[in-house]
Amino acid sequence: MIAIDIREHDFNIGDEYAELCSQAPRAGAVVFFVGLVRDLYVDESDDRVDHIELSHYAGMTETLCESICQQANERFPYDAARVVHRVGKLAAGAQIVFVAVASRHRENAFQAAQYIMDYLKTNATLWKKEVGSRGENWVGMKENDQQATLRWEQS
Amino acid sequence: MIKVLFFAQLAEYAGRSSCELEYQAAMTPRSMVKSMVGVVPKELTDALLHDVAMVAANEVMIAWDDALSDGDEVAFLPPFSGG
Repeated sequence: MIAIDIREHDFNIGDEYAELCSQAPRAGAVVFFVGLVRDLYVDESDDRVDHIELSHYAGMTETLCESICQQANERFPYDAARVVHRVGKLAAGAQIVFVAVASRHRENAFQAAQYIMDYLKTNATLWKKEVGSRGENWVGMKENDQQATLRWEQS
Repeated sequence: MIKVLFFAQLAEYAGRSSCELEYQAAMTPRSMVKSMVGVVPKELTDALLHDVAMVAANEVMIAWDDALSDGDEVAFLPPFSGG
């Protein structure tokens, strides 16, 4: 069972966790990840990010996220996965993304959650603009994010 | 007719998020962008021809030289930065 939700409003971790568990009654492990808006730029200088603006390609984003979850399931079979990704204007400190995987044993839940998160950053039609003391800047794909997905392709 | 979508920085360069173009025989994303030179803001065609944008037709990734069909929805996608 794969659930994808791309939306503007915030998510409640407890609600998402409960929903995931209801889809995976025989699971013995749940791993989840929450991404937050940092107020730091990538060079971690004294400049501050006030908020980000996230845009996406509605329809294609959901399809790509589902495909990433299916690929993760082929490599690390699990019982259920849930991805919530927010779009729109998000203040520093806000929750951006929730990725959770429920599986029989912990190893696949850890691996699949990380796989989904890594590919979400490099293979889904989502774009982030930082707005802060340096003005407005579109965030490019980061090299370490690309390295993270390459690692899965080489292993 | 081809519906063209621009996202993120490309939409800012274009000054819009979508437009429609007349379909031409043997059209590809690359030939489409070349036909836009001089008609749309230079920043947009420069970014599309020289940067690392990707292309989707009807929500499926395609190559820059793949053939398009009349009625396609073609999206130009800058490098992704979600998560």
